[in-house]
This record gives sequence, structure tokens and C-alpha cells, in this order.
Amino acid sequence: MNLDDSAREVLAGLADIMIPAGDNMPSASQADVAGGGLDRVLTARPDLAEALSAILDKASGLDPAQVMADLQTNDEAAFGVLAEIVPGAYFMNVTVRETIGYSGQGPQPIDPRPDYMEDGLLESVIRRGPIYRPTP
Amino acid sequence: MAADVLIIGAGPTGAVAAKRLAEAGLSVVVLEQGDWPDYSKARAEHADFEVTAGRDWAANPNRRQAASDYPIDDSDSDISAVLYNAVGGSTVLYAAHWQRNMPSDFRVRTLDGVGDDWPLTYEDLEPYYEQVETDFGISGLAGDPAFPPGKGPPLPPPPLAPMGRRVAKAHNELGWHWWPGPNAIATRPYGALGECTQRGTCMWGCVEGAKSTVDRTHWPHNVSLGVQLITGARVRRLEVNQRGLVTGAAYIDREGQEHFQQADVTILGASGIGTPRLLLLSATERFPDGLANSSGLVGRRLMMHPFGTVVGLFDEDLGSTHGVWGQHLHSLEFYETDTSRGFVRGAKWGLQPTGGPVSMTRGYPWGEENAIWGNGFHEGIRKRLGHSAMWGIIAEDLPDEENRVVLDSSLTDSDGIAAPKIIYRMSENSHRLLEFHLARAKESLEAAGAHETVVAPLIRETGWHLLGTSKMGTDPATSVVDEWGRTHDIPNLYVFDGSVWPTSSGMNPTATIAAMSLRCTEHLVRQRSHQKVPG
Repeated sequence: MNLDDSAREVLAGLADIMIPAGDNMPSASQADVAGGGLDRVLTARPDLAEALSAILDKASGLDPAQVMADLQTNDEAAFGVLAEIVPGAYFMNVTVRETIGYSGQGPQPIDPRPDYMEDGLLESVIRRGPIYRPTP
Repeated sequence: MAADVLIIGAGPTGAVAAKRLAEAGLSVVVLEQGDWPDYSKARAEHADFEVTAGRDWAANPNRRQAASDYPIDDSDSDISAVLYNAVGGSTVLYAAHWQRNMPSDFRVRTLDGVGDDWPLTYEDLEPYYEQVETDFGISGLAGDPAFPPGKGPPLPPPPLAPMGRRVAKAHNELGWHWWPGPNAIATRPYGALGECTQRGTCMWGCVEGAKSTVDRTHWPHNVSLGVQLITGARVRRLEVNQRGLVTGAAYIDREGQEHFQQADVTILGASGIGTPRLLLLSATERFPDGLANSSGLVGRRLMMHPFGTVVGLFDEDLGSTHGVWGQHLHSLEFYETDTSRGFVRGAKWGLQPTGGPVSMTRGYPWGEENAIWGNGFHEGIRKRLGHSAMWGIIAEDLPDEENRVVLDSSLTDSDGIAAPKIIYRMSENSHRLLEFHLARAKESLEAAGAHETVVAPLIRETGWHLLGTSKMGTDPATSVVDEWGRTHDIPNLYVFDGSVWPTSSGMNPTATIAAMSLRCTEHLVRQRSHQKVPG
């Protein structure tokens, strides 16, 4: 599904309510959430496109802040669609990821040294003794 | 062709039973409505991981809507049921916390005057726990003082990690229990399992194959033993002959064709929702209220473990985007009953990481009421991402016959079969229990140095543990199956899954489901020469 420019503009307005600029971070629209970001999300989640389109149709011409407040209060499902798409697109933005220091869920092999054995951590637990009720 | 044994459901119950039955030389057919999990959809290595996780690995079948799924009407329930229909069943999506029940969990009526005793003890089940822990490749550490002494699991536990070390130290100062987390996650290569690399993506497709799911640990082996596993097979009903014995199951394949699988013995392992649904769907003139339902308890006493979280925010970078998900440690300090708290029974706590940036915005684990949208968004991300640790709290809920699974009057699955409806209300005891535990968990994280805590008192889409709807007991008037999982009413029909639990414990249930399945299967094998069969 291709969303036209006006629909993307509506999305940008709604997305900026969710993720405004601040703390040296771009807003959702500045991070291209409604452009390439949306395309990437919908490539991964085409199942969300129809619901998104319906939301944007309804929101067209309305105050984005009012729309978001209304959805959050009265339409959990619709809000949930935006809550998947907007942060999903935002945090796939390379610049955003670099700025927050997130490089994905890469592997971090387990250190075989048992950190639970350090500093006598377990000894305190063992010393306190059993805490279960035995079978009567 | 008739099988010696027909198993319905290829989750952990069916996997354990099929393995033992095949090893004993019995012919086994398994009907599973799902397919093998498609791990090409495990996207942990890609930028779109957090986006795709909600598509292919969603826990709620009403959201996932895969061809293998059936809808569940949860409009009259405080909690939504979550499960996975596939080879592997809900082990595909579970967090792999591997918890044995405590001895008191089997003697709830005797010790606490509520619920029921189980017709077996911890000691009866212990050898089966040991066997399934070997078969599943469990990681953990022997000597936990919350349990009787015994053999530990085969693999070492995962690291405590910075978050776990902080909490462990805090609990030692508080004098509270903790122990390295037992997990169905391979910390070393083990059999068919790869080695965990702490991606923190365990619930959304483990790319290393380190999470112990029975599609990896059991089913390839079972098939090599000759078990016939039929996928895409949705069972519509069980058939019963004039002698009152089950003759097999009618099922519908993905092309809509109906088949019938004959068997001498039928075992249900279709979950605490799927099993009573099927028993109710199989009503006949002779059994107008559904099969094995002379007690009226099929579908009743549904227990789902109300679940809350407390997340601590720390100044220190804990690296909590990663870890085992999974639990780095657990605490059972407040598990046993203390009536001075104003409730009975207790809860288990598991300490987990919190994941990547999109996860910082989600209702699980943060709670919808703690959303960070708007002006606080970036501050919220900065405070949460990598700097947070979560206690997940599994609350024991007591059996209540009004909490139940019924057949929906209008909703159906894609084959036109009546869908289940769940009716579930949290009890006052559960509310008090969760309130107490959330407060203590908050204290725990504050003692560990959290500058802020975020409490999600009850997260709706967390009904992972579906228990109690075909109660086990010795009295046919007050239970559905006997202590070996055989239905009182139909001597060649068995239920081995979590449906049979008389009480729910406050533990993640897969360890006990697997051990119970093995115990019941061993008995079935031993008694097979006395087994009534329809032929």
C-alpha cells in the first residue's frame, strides 16, 4: 500500500506528538518517520497498512494533538498501530540509533567465569538456610 | 492406520509423552494444528527486529492471526490468554524460566486451607523433574535453599550480569532469598541446542537455537524414533464408541479435508484452553456436556497467573538491552504463605533485562499507564534504555469454578469450529497478593540502587500459563482425571497438560508440565497390558 504525500503529512503530525524534538534528539518527522521510516516498517509489517490508512483518513484536517489524545483514551487498537509504527520507524533511523548508542541485539557471548561465585554472594543465601515448607 | 497412541498437540506435553512412548516401542501419531516454527523469521540480527517481533512472534493469537491459530474471546476476562500453535507449542514463545514447584504447592489445602492438595507430592515428581531437565538441557545451579536438596540441572546458569549482581547484593543486605536463575536456555552447546549469546530476544525467535524449545529438543528425535507427526491438523472432535471408549480424532487439514485418526489410546496436550475446548466440542448424546465431564469441571477452575512488573531505573549502564530473557536470578523470598500479609500463597520473582529502544515504549514490561509519549519521550528513553532491570512477578491465583473456558456462542475459527471463550476475574486474594509483592519488589530495586521504579500492577496480555481446566484428583465427583492423567469417565482418554493442575502454584509451569507428562506416560507404559482399548 502506498500512502500519498498528504497522508504522510498527517502521519508526521501525529508522530511528532508522540516523539517531539528535544534533548538534542530529532522529532519523529525530522527522523523521516513518515517517509523512508514508514516504508521500512510497512515492508516488515504490511499487516499494519490498512489500519494506518484508516487512522490517517480520519485524522486528516484535525488537530494532531487532539487526535492523539482521543485515540489514546478511546481507541486502544488504533493507538496501538501508531505505537508500533512510529517508534519502530524512529529507532530504525541510523542517526537516531547512533545518538542513543544502540547498535541492535547483537551477540554478547557468555563469560564462562561464574559471577555468582564472586564476593561470597551465594554464601549469604546458603547461610540463611532452607526457606521452603517440606511436604507434611 | 490405527496407532497405539494418539497425541493431540505438539507442545511440551506431547513432546515428552511421545518420546517416552516411542522409546517403549509404541506406535504414536501426533496431530498438531500448527507448523514447524519458521526461524528464518527470527530477526534479532536485523534493524527491524523489534518491528517484526510483533508480527511473527506475537504471543496473543488474536493479534497473530496465523493460519494455525484459533481466536479466543477474552472480552469477559481480566487477562488475555497467550499461547502458540506450532510444533513446540508455547515453548516457542515462552521466556524459558524453568521453575520446579515447591513441596507446598502440592499440599495447598493441607498447609493453607484453600484450594486442593494434588494427588502426588514433590517427592513423587522429583525423579521426573531430573529426567526432563536433562532432556531439555536446563541451565541452573544446584543447592537453591528454596527447594529440597537434589541433583541440579546439566548446564551452568547464565551470568547474574550487572543488574543481577546489584540485586543479589541488595537481597543479601535485606536478608532476602535470591538464586541464579534456572532457565531452559543452553549456556553451553548441548545436544541440538546452540550456545546462548544473550541477545535478549528469547521470546521472539532465538537465532542461536539456544532456547530449549521442544521443536529442537524433542521432535526431531521423536520423528527419528518413528513418531508420525502430522502438522496443519486441526482436531474437530474426538469420537467415542458404544463401549464408551475413544476411538480417535476427526481432524481438518489445511486444504479443508477431513480425516480420521484411529488409536487405542488418546492423550490430550492442547493447553488449558485447547484441551477443554476439545472435550466440550466432542459432546455426544451419551456425553451431552462434553467428554469426561461427569463432574461438570471440564473448562472450570481456569488459572492464568496474574502478572505484574516492577522496573528499576539506575544511573549505571547495566547493559540491560541484552541478557537472557530468561531470568538472571529469581527470588522466592515471599513465595510461602504468611497470613499476616492479608492473603494466602505467594509469587515468584524473575529478574530480566528490558530490551531495545522500542521495548522502552511498550506496555510489556512498563505498563500502558507508564507510557512516555510526548515531551518526556527522550528523557524516558535515556533513563530506561540499558539502565533498567525488571522484576516479573508470577502470582498464584486460586481455583475458582466461575473462572472458566466455554465454547463461544458465535465466534469460530477458520474451519467454522466454535472458538473458546474465557471468563476470568481476579480474586481479592490475588489483588492483595500482587499489591504486596509489587511493593516488596519496589523495595528490592530501591535497595539495589534504583533512583526510580516503574510499577505495572497488572499487564493484561500475559496469560501465558493456562492451568486447571481438567482437574486431577482421586474423586470422580470433584475431578476430571485421576493421578495418572486418565479421565475418570473414559478409560482410554488421558489429559497430561497443564489443564490437570489442581492449583496453579506461583511458578512458571513448563518444568512441572513436562515432569507430569513424563510421570503419567511412564505409568501408561507400565500399565499398558491392562489398558482398555476400543479394538
